Amino acid sequence: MEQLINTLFNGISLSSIILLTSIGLAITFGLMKVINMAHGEFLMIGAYMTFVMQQIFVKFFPESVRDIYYFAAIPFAFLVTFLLGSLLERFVISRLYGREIDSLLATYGISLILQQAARSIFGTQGVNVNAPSFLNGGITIGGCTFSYNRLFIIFMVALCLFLVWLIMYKSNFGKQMRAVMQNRTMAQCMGINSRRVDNITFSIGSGLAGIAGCSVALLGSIDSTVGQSYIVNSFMAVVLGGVGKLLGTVIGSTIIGSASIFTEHYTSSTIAKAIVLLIVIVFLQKRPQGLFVIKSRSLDE
Amino acid sequence: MLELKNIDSYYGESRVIEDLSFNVPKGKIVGFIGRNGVGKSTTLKSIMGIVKTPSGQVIFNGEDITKKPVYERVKLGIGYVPQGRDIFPQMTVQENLELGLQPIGGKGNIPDYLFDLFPILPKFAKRRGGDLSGGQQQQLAIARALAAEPKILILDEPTEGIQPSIIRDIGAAIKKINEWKGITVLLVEQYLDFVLENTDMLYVMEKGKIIYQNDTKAADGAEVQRLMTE
Ligand SMILES: Nc1ncnc2c1ncn2[C@@H]1O[C@H](COP(=O)(O)OP(=O)(O)O)[C@@H](O)[C@H]1O
Ligand SMILES: [Mg+2]
Repeated sequence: MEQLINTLFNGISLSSIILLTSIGLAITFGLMKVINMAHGEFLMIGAYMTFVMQQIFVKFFPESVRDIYYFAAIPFAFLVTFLLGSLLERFVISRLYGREIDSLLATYGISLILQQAARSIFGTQGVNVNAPSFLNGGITIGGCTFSYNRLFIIFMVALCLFLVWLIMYKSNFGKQMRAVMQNRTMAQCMGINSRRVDNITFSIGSGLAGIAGCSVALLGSIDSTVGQSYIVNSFMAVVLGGVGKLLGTVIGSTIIGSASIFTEHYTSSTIAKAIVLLIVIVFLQKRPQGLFVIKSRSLDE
Repeated sequence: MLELKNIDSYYGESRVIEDLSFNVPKGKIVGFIGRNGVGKSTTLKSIMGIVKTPSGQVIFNGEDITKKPVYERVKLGIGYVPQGRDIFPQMTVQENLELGLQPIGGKGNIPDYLFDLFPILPKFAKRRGGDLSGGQQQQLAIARALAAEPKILILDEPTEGIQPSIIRDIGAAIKKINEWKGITVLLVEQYLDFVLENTDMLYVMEKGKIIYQNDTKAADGAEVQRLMTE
């Protein structure tokens, strides 16, 4: 029983990281029909930026305030990946508009370049960040231990999700974004600059992957392939959840995250990946549109 | 107010409009009539910048807008109601109207007179646009195009597939916004009686060209009908 709860808890925290990377994938696909193969590398960059911020604090700040580095790392990682996402959209994706295969290949190339860049800058060996001391340990309830860093990750993701919901459904920008998703031409006829909406949306999605990278940094060593290990699950979560609906992405991520942890618990990690993939394939045979669908003109075409 | 000079329009390789020129005078309600498939919608899409116009000019308020993207033209004060209405079906009536405020930055209020013109809109504010009837969607689309108080309102077959009582309401609304707010109207139609009743002047289009123009008062309905059908 305790083991089950522990496994479930780990499943939820993994799901929440997957969710943070899936949101960006889902909204950019919903909006632009572009699959960004370099999305995982934004997660990697976010993780490395956490490491960089820690080095800065070790070098320039007294020991007593070093723990704060993590709170500086989160906005820093967001900002760096937001700006890189903005550049990628502006100079690559927007130029390949309507050419899905080309943008798939281009972003795949960029993902390889970013991995190589990470190896050149940070070395092939993984680097580690020290979780802030207040995140060491955990709460034990009846034999189950809930580690603070995983609890913190869940909390952070919930906060990000709430902010994304606010942007999408309560702000004027969100209204513009949903209008462009539903009918791009008509949105332009409402005076909306759809290219600007694309760019900002893509940047926000990239920034969220950067924050996911901050979470990943708390859980283990960071190397140039760290993005790849999470992105496959995120793709599956998006496919499973259906495109363009926040709720679908949340549920898709939860299923994929939990399924990975559970199968991993009873088998090995490679077999777990294969089993999850199998489940997704079987599911998509039955329901190719995913769990949820948004009726969208751009997707009907 | 709005002038097209020697416009050519293409869908891919096929030219639908050839060397089209006409003028919509300020403050007038102008009818633009023709059979199915002669290029009326394409003309409007050329004005909006939705289809490419490799040669010719679109002049709005003395400014050449031929090279401007769609959203910038809208911001200059062109309100557009496309054929088929294209409201946002997943959004509420209220949200659709708020999208009408985007040309002025999404701020400000929807003018009250629109709710007097179309009383069903405040009543159904919380409903999804896709759940309205065709006539209600048409009224929503017109109100949405008027929310930011444009200088010209462009309507593409607003009577298409709509019941007679609502057609009458729409005709009355077009006249009122022209009278009260001085908004110029360009009305594309196939329904001749509606144009004869509600416009100041009219153009007849055939195969991408204008073949007749006149003041509506002076126009002979039977002759226009003959031009349209032959
Ligand atoms: N998206 C399109 N792609 C290719 N051809 C089109 C498209 N839309 C319209 N056409 C063609 O252009 C011509 C004019 O169409 P349109 O402007 O819609 O006419 P109208 O509005 O007067 O009925 C028609 O022959 C039609 O088949
Ligand atoms: Mg038409």
